[in-house]
Amino acid sequence: MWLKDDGTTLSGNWLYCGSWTEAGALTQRRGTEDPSELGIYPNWAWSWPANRRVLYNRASCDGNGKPWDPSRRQVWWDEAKQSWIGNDVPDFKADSTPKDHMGPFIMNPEGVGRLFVPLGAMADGPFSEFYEPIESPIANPLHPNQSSNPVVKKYKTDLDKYGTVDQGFNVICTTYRLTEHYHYWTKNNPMNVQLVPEPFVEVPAELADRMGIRGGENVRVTSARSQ
Amino acid sequence: MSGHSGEAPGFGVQREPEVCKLIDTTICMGCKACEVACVEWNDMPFGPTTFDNTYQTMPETRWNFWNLIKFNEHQREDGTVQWLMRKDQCMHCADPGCLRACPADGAIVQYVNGIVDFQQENCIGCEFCVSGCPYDIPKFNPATKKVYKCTLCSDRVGQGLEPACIKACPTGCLKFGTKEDMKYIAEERAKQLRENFGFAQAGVYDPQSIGGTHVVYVLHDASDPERYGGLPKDPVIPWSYTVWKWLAKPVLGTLSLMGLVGVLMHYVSVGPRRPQPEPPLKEGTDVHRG
Repeated sequence: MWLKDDGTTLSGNWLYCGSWTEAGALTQRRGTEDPSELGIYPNWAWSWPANRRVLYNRASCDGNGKPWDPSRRQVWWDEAKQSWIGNDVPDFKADSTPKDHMGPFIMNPEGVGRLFVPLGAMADGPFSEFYEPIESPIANPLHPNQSSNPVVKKYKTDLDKYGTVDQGFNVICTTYRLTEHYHYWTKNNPMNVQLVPEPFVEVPAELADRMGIRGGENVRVTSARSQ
Repeated sequence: MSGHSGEAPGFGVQREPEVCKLIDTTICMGCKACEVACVEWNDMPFGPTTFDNTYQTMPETRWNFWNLIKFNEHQREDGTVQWLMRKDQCMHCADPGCLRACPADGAIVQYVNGIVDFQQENCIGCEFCVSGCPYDIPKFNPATKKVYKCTLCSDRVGQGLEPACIKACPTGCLKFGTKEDMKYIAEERAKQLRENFGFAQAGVYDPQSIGGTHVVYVLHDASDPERYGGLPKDPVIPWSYTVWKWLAKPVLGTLSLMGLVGVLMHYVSVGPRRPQPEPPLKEGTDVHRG
């Protein structure tokens, strides 16, 4: 189950250690039994690490190692065995008794979860927050008076213009990639060009109806900065 | 050692397995890697395409494009949309309509392993195979006046390799092996789709109306293959080609053979053509000699 330094185990990435054992490829298992009825399905495929279904599942127990919710017992401390056991694989040092006060978030030095970004890593504050993009046609539903990020860096050259709904920029547009091309690099490779010969935009049917455009027609896409 | 006097029983017996390509449409993600692999391996010249409001590379296969993913949007009864992708190529039928229709000896051949191959050097460009195919696969090249289609990479298979499209597939949607094995895997997968994934109509496409095919599909809904870009439920070879191959061609062949036999019999019974006696001179004709 664990990587050993004696050559009996092999693992490209430590996360996948234990996914392939003497029993074969555990990732291909299709067992549909769920003894705990918590949706754990321990014998369906395999999840890293160590076939554990919920990370940091020690957090489902109180300080004494008892599940917060007795009807949904993920893992718990077994005093008799002096070990963590459970319906799921405990994501914890198995023999660390609750008296040691080891925190459940074992990847953080402080052992607890973080709701904020410490060390001033983010200019807009320690807590995560949702802001609309600068040119968004709608006000931020969470706090309409501060719709976009107040500390975002805005460039101020002549080219850095920002459009508004009043100017007619009222459609949200996003870019994405295709499997057939690598960005625009492959645009001169005949094989890729044969598959997708030209750039295109996808428009929802309702919006296309409203704008009076039909599939296959040419459209001009503009922003405040270029077209 | 064996007490058997001759060669041991079974000596020299070789299995001639029929090959098969398995296409699991339920895990095709439409990446078109198989299209590129096909074009590359077969060293096909490129042709221009135009964006036609779909992700599909072109409306149908071409003489220089044998492998095409067909993208189909199917609206379910509850209004949700299913995006179905099907790899379209030669099905390598057990009873090939193209072969039935072909009048040129050796232009279309069917190997023992089930691959139906076109030999362009024997093709006379009549295009009968085009109309004989229930899947609209053979395509005519006006420049060479020959017809082309997927060979199931017979050149690779002959060397023990899988076809190029199979090699390129990243999801495991394409598999290659014996017909027996592929049918087993396909049926197991269909069973899994029915029992574990809620596709009650999932099944395997291997139409018996043409004796089965050496390309089989796993479909989410085998009751309606048409929704996968016009896959015929019960493909049929036009009756005229059945008549051609099984009636007209043998009958006409027999008739011409009988003609030859008649000539031979005439020779045997009557003998070779002898010099004809000179026609008698007309009476009263004056002949002067010397």
